[in-house]
Parts: sequence; C-alpha cells; structure tokens
Amino acid sequence: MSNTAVGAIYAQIIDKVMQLSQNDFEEAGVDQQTLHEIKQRWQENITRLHVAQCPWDPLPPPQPQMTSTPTVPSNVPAKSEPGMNSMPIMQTMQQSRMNTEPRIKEEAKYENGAQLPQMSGYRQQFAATEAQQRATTLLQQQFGNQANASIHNTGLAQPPRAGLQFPQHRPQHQQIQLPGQGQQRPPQQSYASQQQQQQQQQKPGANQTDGAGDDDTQWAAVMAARPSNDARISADNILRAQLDASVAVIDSGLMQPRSELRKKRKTVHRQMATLQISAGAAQTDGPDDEFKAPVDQDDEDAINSDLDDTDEDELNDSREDAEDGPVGETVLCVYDKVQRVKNKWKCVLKDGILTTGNKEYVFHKAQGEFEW
Amino acid sequence: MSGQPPPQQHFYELYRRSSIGSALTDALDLYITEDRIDPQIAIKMLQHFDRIVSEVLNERVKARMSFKGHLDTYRFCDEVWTFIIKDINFKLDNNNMLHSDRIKIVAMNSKKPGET
Repeated sequence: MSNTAVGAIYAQIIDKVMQLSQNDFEEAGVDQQTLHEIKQRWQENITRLHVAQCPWDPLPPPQPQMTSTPTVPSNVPAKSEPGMNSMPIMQTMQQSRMNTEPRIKEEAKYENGAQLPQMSGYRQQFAATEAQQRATTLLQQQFGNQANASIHNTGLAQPPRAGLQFPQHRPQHQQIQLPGQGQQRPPQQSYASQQQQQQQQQKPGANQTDGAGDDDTQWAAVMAARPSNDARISADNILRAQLDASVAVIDSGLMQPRSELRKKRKTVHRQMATLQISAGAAQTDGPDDEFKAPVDQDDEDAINSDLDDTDEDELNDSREDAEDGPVGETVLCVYDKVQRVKNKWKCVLKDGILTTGNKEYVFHKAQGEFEW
Repeated sequence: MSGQPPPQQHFYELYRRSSIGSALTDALDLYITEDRIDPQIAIKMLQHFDRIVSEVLNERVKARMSFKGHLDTYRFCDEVWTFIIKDINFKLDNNNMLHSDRIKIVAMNSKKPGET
C-alpha cells in the first residue's frame, strides 16, 4: 500500500459518485454543468489538503534539483557530472522547462539558459578536474603539507588544462597560455594556487561529504547575507501585524473549520430548541407537556451527570481535533474482530482510510496489536 | 410485510469525515449557500458517496497492513469502537513503516444490523 495508489482510488470514487448523481441532477432539473463544477470543486478541495497525489492534480513542479543550488562556481560540476556529453540536451531541457514554468526562476541566477551554451566549455573543464580537486583535498587532509610534493608530482595540484577548450568568447591569449601550465609551474606557485584551490574546495567539500550540514551552512549563508537585524525586526513586526489581522478574522468565525462552526451552530440550535419547547408548552395542553417541560428545564440547569454531558464530549472532541491538525491522525474503518486478553488487544480492521502525517493511505485489511 | 420492498441497504457515514468526504461536503455546502443546488440533492449525493466509498474500499483496494502501539483510550458504544493509540507503528505492504505519536481509530461493525 502506498500513498500513490490513493489518488487513483479517489478518482474512481469521484467518477462513480458523479455517475450516480447524474440522474438525481436531471430529475431535480439542475444542469450537468453544475454537477461538473461540483466535481471540479471537490477535486480542488482534495488537492488543497495535499493528502495524496491525485490524477487530476497539476503535474508537480519538477523536483527542485536546485535545492543544493551551487552558490560558488566550484560547486557547479557536481551537477554536470553524470554524462557530460548529454549536457547540451540537459541544457535545452532545462531551458524549455524554464520557458514553460516560471517557478524555476531561482535557477536563472546560475543556470541561465541564455548563458549556458557559452559556459559549457568552462563547466566541462571543471567537471573534469573535480576528481582531481577532491583527491588533492583528501591528500591534504590526510597528510597535511607533506602531501604537497606528491600532489605536485602527480600533477594533481593544477588541473591539466591542456586539452580543454575555453568557449569562443574568451580572449585568445588565454587559450595560448594555458596548455601545459600545470606541469611547468614552479613549486611555490603551485603550492599557493593549491592552497587557493583548497580554500575554494573547503566549502563545497564539506557540502559533498557530510550531507547533513548542508542546509545549516546554506541557511547560515542566507542569514549572513541578510542586510541587518533591524531589517529583520521590522519584517517580523509586519508579519506579526498580518498574523494579528488573520487572528481577528478567525475570531469573527469567517474562516473557521466547518466542524467548529457546526458545533457552534449546534449550541445555537439547542438553545433555540429549548426556547421552542417552552413556548410550545404554553400553547398545547395535555399531561405529556406538563411532564416534559420540567424535565427539559432540569436538563438545562440541574442534572450534571457525566453520562449525558454532551458539552464535555464536544470539548474533548474539539481538543482532539485541534491536536490532530488540519486533516487529523485518524483511521476510519470497519472492524471484523476485536479481542482482548488481559491488557492485550488484537483487532482486525477492514476497508479503512488511514490519515497520518498529512498523507492518506487506504487498506483492505489491517491487523492491530496493542496493549493498554 | 412480505409485500413491502426490501429496506434500502444502509451504508456508514463515517467516511464523510475523511479528506475526500469533507472535500465533497465543503463543495456541496458552497453550492447550497449559493443557492445553486437543493440541499436534498446534496444529501443524496452524500448517500451515494457513502455507498461508493464502502464498495470501492472493499472491492478495489487490496492493500494490507499491520500496526502495533500502546492503547491509550478505548470506547465501545453503539457498536462503534474508538481507540486512541499512542506511539503507533504501521507496517505497510511494501515494508514501509509509518509512525504516529497518537492516532484515533474509529471502527464501525463490519456486520451491519440485520445482517447475520
């Protein structure tokens, strides 16, 4: 059972209900367009709950490949690693995706489609040297400065740029200078450049190896990049003002969940019912009324039994609902068997809908064991 | 008595509390408040929904699962079991595990009154 199957099941349910209702709508003289609109609204409501990926949902935005969006150029090759030959294709794909979906706008900073073709030569070069850079860093970490000599000897320190072609727009003299530079460079210069490289490498290296710290580093960078604390405080104040405003709206009952509204309505209905009963008692006679009226009054005022105190139940329920979040943590099902031996319980449940972690799952049969 | 048509089979309304049920109820509520459909037709639609959900879950869903946890509260009233289970672990068909700190199970009798 997976969450993905739920969408298909829901689609079946919706279609069948719509089919059955078609007749009712015709008989009631409501046009089919309304039925269709209700269906759409129903689907939209489900989509909004995000409990499952449904067939009618708009396609999810392409997985944010840029979650670890490179913030420094040296990070770029990590992405272009698999299949460098396919780079142009990937670029065009990304480009076309960008044309159709404005949501990838953030990519534009580093992955601007217009610039990509020109950049590709540079990227390929980086991709080719990345392994070497990593090896260099590793050696450095393991052996410290002693590794410098061997790094230099093996030519790891400086990427061999001989075979690399810089893009056309690069100045010509650079291309001429580059070939063979790595091997002939004097040691000091090599060491310096290597240190530079290492410094560049430190950050991306950490990103690549430990995994868990990624977001923290990125977040720290984002925080550091923020203008100042004052700006943040003022922004917080704006947010708070908005929150207060929304709380005011909620208090007015405008955007309240239906369940709570219903409870309110129920209380109002009950009050109205009592009013009607007392009014009715005045209009009609007979022994029943005389008997009933005082009982109703007693219900309102005197009896405080736990058993018939519905308010408490409602309070409990609302507390449970509140704890459960928007959709709740529930299983709605039928039971085949519920057994208990001492404090051990076993049950067989069927035809259920499980809602947990804001996702829904359906099951045909479930076996549960729990102890009290 | 024998001349009367068999009573219409009754289906549980509990699935109306699921997301798909509440989504339908909300949609219908909107159209009723806008006076675009009659409440009667909405009630009929919900009854269709009750039936279809039961049928589809029964016939089309094959998934099985098991779960273990600590029972916090149990209640059996009017043939309805309600369990509140804490620290519950679900094991799904595909060996996926789900965990919840607290979950409420509402289970109606699979044998409806009148059935044997």
